[in-house]
Amino acid sequence: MTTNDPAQVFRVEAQELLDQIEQALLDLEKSPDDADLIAQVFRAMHTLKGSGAMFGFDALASFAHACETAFDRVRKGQVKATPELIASVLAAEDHLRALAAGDDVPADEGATLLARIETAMTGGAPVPVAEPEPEKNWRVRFTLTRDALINGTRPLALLDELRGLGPCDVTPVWNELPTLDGLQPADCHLGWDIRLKTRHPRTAIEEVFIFVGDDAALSIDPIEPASAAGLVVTDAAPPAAANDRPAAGHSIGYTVRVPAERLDELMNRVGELVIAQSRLKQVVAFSTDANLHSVAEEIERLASELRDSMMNVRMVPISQLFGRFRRLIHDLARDTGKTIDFRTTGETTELDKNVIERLADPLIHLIRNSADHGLETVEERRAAGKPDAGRITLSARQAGTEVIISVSDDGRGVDLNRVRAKAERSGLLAPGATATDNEILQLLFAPGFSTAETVTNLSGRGVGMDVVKRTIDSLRGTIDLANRPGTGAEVALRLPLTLAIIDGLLVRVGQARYVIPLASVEECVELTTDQDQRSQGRSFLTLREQLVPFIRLRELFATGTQPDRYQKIVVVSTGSERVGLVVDQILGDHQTVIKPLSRFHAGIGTFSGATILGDGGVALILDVPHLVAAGQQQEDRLRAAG
Amino acid sequence: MHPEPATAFRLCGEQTVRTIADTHRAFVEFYADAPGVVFDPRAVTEADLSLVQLIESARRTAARDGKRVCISGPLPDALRDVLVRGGFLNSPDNALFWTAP
Repeated sequence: MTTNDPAQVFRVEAQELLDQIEQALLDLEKSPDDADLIAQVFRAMHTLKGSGAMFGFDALASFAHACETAFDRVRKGQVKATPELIASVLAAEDHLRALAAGDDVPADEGATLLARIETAMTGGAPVPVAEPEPEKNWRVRFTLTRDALINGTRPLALLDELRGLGPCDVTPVWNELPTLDGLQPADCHLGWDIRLKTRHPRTAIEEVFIFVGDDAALSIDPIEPASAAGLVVTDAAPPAAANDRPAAGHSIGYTVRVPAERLDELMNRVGELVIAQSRLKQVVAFSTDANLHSVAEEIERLASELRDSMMNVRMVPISQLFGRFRRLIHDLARDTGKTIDFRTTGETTELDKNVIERLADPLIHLIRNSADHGLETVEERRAAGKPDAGRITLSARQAGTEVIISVSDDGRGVDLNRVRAKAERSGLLAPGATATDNEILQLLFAPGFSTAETVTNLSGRGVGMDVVKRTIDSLRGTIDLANRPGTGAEVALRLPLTLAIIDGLLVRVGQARYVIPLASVEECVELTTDQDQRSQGRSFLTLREQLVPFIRLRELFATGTQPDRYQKIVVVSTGSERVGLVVDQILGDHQTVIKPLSRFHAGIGTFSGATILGDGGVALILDVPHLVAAGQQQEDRLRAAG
Repeated sequence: MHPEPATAFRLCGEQTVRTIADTHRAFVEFYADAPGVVFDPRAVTEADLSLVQLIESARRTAARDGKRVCISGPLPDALRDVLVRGGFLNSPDNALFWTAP
């Protein structure tokens, strides 16, 4: 896409508006009388209509107009926002999404959906008609910016909408219209002065101008009965600019929309800068020039700050992601016939945008699993003494340089016997083999374990738990699964805050250098030659009365070198599991710009990427979760051997 | 647009913000040598506010220059619609200008 593609600009805007509509509709289910929510749906639909027409999405504009008209009756209190009506408008919203995306939609789909909305409205209990507001006279004056016509604003449509509110006396104001020699023919030189008689409140008049909010100079003033009697319109002083209006008007949002790829490009540049700065640091180390040292330190500080600022720019609140799942829950509840109490916490937690984008599918699968398989039917829940509504909680929280996102439910939990039986049938586990509960749970993530039984008609994506695991692995994250038979289950995803640049610990093993993500490092201890010789064959370290398995990276990487006299153990952890990594030397901290491995090397589990060092050399980045898992397996084997 | 010798300026087809710059250019040339102007909008199939602005601007310019501007023939639906919805026919003076036979 390019930013200059108007259709793409509209699609982005439409997406946001439809998200707003969806969220408001889902909130409305719980609070059907909330006037603010009703107005929110109406306004967003109204804006979508105007924007769609402006960008040439005529079918969308026309359909949005029909939806808006229907919802206007809700807004006016003529119809109640029943669950049926909300469901039908949600279906209409899906149709609008398809139209915005330019998808092929069946010719009669729009008419069918509108008919469904109409049925829902006529089926809904009419609201007792409120006492109508007294009729009032208003003077509405507006002028548009010069480029309004070129930008697609339709002043005549605004006037039509005002007429929809009540009888109008419309007078064009063209004091500003120049003679031919000064005329810019495509500019808008017109304004209007309107006398309107209506029972609608001021907000209804303001809503007409929502779409042109910041462009229009607008004033809306009540007319006292005495002056309203003589409908004399004089040349009006130009109305105050919209931006001069008090808080009730539209405020300017100091935000700039930037295509994601530009952020990625900027991030790459910052990455290159960090590498260059690292080289500078190395070169300067051999110099005795104090000024050069001073400048190098200043550049190091600036590069570090720039890196942090850039990271912040890429961070987006996870609410953007969580919001999508409310609709999923709505549909799941409808399709499964279960009552689902969906709760979210920690929506303000921020995560790198690239991580968030890739989390959507895994989370959809986990939530669907909870709803389909975790939660019991109402009858089963009653029999178990649980409330009718099953609870699914989606939470996020930051822990150091990680974000933990969990999906939990208060359902039946994972039936380990069933998992075991299925694994045996699938050949993933030898019949009767000894396996701990945790090992059985891990089978859920094995390729091939997901079967048709776990894929519902709602999925359509073919994402199984093995794919969830692969996605989380690729994000350098880990998955913890906690099972509480009879009371529920929780899947926790631990993810790094960012995928671009991390703080690393640079170590040497043999002649090569490696980076260990600093966030995983708990502590470093020395492994003396004596300790090393004593521990041969055991590879366990006693650390504050706890046994910690360790892996000799020199052996793992087959360096063929002799160990240093004073080796170090870097203790790393993922959650509650720890493992020590024996290295020859700790070189220090290192701002690590993560470069992906080539496709040929991507499958090597021990490494998650590579980075370029200050001297131009390459260091591989250790995949800590993989190494911790290897260490734990080593511990399990030794324990099993007694 | 095909200016005719007898001071008639013929408007045709689409006369909207997308095309008005061309019409403006042609009209300014035409106007310079014309003792008066008769707009003939009968062949207009699509119109918007930019056409109304152009004609009104011509009317003001002519008033300044002592020339006469008028509209000939019945208004096409497209132009009439813009005039009605925009409130341009609400004052007697304007209504006379736009709709006089």
